[in-house]
Amino acid sequence: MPLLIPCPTCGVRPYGEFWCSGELPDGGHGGSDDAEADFERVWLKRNVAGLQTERWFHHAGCRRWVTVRRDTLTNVIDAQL
Amino acid sequence: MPNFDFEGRPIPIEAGDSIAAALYRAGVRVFSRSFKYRRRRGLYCVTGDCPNCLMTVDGEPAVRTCATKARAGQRVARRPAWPSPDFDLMAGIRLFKRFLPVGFYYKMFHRPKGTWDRIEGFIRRMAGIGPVPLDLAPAKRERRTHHPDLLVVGGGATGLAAATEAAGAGQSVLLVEEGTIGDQIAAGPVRDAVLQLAAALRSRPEATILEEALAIGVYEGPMVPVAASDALHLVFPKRVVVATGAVEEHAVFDGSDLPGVWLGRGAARLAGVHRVLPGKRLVVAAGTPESFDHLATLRSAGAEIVAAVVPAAMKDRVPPGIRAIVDGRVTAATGRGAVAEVTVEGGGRLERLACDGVVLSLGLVPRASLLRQAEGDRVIGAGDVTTPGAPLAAAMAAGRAAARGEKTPPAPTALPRPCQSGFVCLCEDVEAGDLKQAWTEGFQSTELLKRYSTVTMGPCQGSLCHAHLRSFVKDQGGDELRTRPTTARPPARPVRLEDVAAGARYPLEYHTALHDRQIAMGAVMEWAGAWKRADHFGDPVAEYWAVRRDVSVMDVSTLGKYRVAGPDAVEFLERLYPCHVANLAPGRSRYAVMLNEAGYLFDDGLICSLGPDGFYLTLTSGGADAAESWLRDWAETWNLRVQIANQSLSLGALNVAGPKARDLLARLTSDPIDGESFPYSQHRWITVAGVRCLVLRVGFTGELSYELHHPRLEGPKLWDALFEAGRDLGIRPHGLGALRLLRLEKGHIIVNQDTDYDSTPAKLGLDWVVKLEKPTFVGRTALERIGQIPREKGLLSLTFAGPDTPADGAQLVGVDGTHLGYLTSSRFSPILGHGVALGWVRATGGRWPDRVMAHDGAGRRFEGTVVHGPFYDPKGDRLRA
Amino acid sequence: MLEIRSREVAIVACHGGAAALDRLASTDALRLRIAPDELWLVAGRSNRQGLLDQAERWRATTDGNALVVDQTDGWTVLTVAGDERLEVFGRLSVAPPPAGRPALSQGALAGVPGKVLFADGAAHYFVPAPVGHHLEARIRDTSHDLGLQFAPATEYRPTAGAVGGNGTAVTR
Repeated sequence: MPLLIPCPTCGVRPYGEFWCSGELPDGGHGGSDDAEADFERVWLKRNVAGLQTERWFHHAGCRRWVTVRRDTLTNVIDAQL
Repeated sequence: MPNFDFEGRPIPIEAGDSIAAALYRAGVRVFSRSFKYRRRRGLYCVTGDCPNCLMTVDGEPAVRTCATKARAGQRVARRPAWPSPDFDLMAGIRLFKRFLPVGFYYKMFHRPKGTWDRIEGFIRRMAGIGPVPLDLAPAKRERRTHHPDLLVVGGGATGLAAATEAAGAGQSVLLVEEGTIGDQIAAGPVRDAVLQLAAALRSRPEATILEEALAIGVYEGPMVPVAASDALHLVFPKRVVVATGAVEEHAVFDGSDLPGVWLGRGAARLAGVHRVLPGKRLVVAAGTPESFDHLATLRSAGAEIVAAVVPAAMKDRVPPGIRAIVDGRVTAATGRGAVAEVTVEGGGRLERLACDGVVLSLGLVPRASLLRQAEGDRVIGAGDVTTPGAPLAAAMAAGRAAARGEKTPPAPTALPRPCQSGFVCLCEDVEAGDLKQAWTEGFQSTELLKRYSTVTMGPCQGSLCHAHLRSFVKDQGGDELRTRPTTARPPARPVRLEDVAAGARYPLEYHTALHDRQIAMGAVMEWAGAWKRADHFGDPVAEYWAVRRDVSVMDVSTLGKYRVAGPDAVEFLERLYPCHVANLAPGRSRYAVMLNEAGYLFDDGLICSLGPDGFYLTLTSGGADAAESWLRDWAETWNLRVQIANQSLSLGALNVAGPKARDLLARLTSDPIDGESFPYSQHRWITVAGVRCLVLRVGFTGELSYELHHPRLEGPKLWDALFEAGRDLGIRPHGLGALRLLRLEKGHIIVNQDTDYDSTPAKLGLDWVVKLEKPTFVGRTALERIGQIPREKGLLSLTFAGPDTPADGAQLVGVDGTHLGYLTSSRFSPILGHGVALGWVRATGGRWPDRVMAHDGAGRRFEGTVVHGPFYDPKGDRLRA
Repeated sequence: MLEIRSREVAIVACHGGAAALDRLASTDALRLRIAPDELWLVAGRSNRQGLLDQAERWRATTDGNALVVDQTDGWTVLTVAGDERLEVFGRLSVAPPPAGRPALSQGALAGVPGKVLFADGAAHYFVPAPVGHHLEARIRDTSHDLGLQFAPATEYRPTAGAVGGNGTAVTR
């Protein structure tokens, strides 16, 4: 199968059933009052060629989020966080 | 005898004939005209790899007639030419060769200016391989999915052996073959083996065979789409064995594209399988062991072999009675319209041989484009595609090994001798000289040469010419990187769009429960995202007035609707929205916007406090679906105890709007709905016509409005009751057309119509919905940061005198001529008697303009005045009634 | 013989903590675990109020913070019965059918987000009500060669029990 996302409820499903959050900053989403840190977190992406933490929303299925670590070069998901 | 029609002639069909074979037997020699120079092309490879035999069959262009079975009643034709394809005057274009060098469309005919525009149409009409049949209805193909353990591509001996091995091990196997298994193999041990294997395989329940099924490409997964006549098969195998075989090495020399030049397998196939002689007096150039089998086949079919050109190491294989030319090369073929003589160079001598055909069997090149699309161990090649020329037993053993997952390292294949002249790419008419020219212009790698000269970019996709491209670059001194094979991409063979679109011919339409009711009342439906919604019901102006003067009903079931409950519900919404939520008393509703982390508005709606039952959120129809991902993401990130239920599709909503709305509702409910019991911007549970509804008093249209949120299936009942009870009140339905005007008169924004992706509330004039004094909410830090930059862009309200008003998108220019922005929404207001609009306007030197000039696309100009506040009923008396 | 018919069910969604939902028992309803924090009580349409009562009792006794929502009107249910029902499924879903019976598959069906319940000897398709008509048309078109027959609508009273997703975790 093409890129498969391991949904904890629905099992391994094709990526087209999900919306991707994009690259997740180290601390996850969410607030930082410091303007510099906030700007970096929202706008500056590292675009790693390698392991990236990201979230996928199973919009066609259970409609819940799953956090995974994916290798952006091989599209192998090696961990579900 | 069955026959098919060829340009008005009946052509008899013998058993097992391909269209090309039947045509050749009937005397057809010119099968097509080439892409650029309209050169005569005859049968060449006869294995489906070259473009020479492409014809229009039953209206479908570019059908490979050598790989297509002849059937009674077919209509076959070549691309029309004048006076005929056999004698095409346009071939005279060869005389203008110097005006059409490689890449001429980049270099020629661009001066004087305008020349290209005039000449392009002419060139386009002349080139190409045939007209697109605009009157042919696309076939409706379905999709099927398969999840076998093993997919085998190729139904030759290797592929069948692989499939048999896997089936024997209990694996589920799908084997796909482009043609019909065994059909194109001459009688002999190979054919017998193939048919026997196929019969045995068919009897196994684990195995499925699809014939006339074309593997389009190998996608990530692996996933292999296979186009067959009944459906597009999406195959998701665990592993793939590619056994697509090899094609004979393409010969390139002066005149090598003339009719009468044959590849060995093709000539032998015509003679051995179809019993049609390619020619009576043939020169054969042999270079592989199997080429001698071809020679024997041609001889026993009755051809006279004028000479066999062989390498020294193979000279003992030439049968007695045939003249052997040792270590020679065919360097030219000449004749008027077809081969009449070939030139053989050998041992320092040049010899001319009279003949009516030359058969070249110089080597084998793997048909590897499918295999090269994949990396890794799950897609394995076997047989001729990795080790061309291996004997039958070895090929079958390789197939079995591949089925077990063992990878055979591919045999290194030598590149062909670099060509000095002749047509390298038959599909695109690229000559050796073109490649040389491109090289001198600086395109010095396979990838660049390919893109500039279009070599390998035709229907054959490099099956024949790719090796020559590489050999040319290597000969010019290219290093390994430059000589690298070009990236292989799907489709491996040309594929019809109707195949790719299989199963996708339904536009997905979301219908509300009032869909049929609205159509019955004359609704003109339009797309609103994935929904079908009513734009109007025949008289949008009357519908508008019904809202302003009487009462009207609109189906707003598409709105986003969410229940949020739990101990942390208030905390959750306080952090999510920029407005206050904690101070929202039960029964009250508040307009709220949703901001992303960059501080930009992406959705808006109401927050309704249900007291102990939590909150009810409404959001735009367009954002309804995605809102769930937003809400759940934050609830999880903040680890809050909230429960979220998406009721967008299980609830419907009807908006009853107009000064008589209360009178109408009073007829259908005994619950208190007077202004004191149920004020503006509040909500109540009201039973209307026996249906318990959560009723919201909203102000989008600017009139007294009640939005009835109800269980979806009760919608028709409510609709009927409202229209029945409101008959004497002048009730009409209204749709999106009227709504857009009504809300515009109040200056209300529509997300994505009046907002950009980077619209902060300040830019939209919605500062009041943001409470920066709140300790935290999504986007707060961004708004603080942005707030320190002087604002230079804003969505302003504008009026135009009318009665003509500018349209949406009209550009705005200041009194001093500077470009200021554009109108996002603009209409003529019937009740106000002038034009009203919202538009993006830039400040100049920190000052906002008072007047602007709107320029529409038709060159008309309208003077506009900037105003503040809603255009209609600025104090909101009407909606607070 | 392959048959498709529209079904009338009641669906009451219970949103609460995973442990509390694990303790939601029912003798007359099928419990579909849509997500760790969401469970559907499914029964015949005539039992709609009964399901709401059961859900309320559970909320009152087990998880006071839970949210109970009647989602009956949000879904169209179509049952495909007959030997070729798995073939029909394969034509609508790119993912393979789940193992075990009863089983629940959640994902895209011919472009529509849906759930397929394999139970009681048939395949029951739950699709959002606004696109129920679309799925019906797709099933009709894609399975016409299988001799699909349309039968009149009936109530579906699923066998009581619990069905969860076939979730798997990817371990490091």
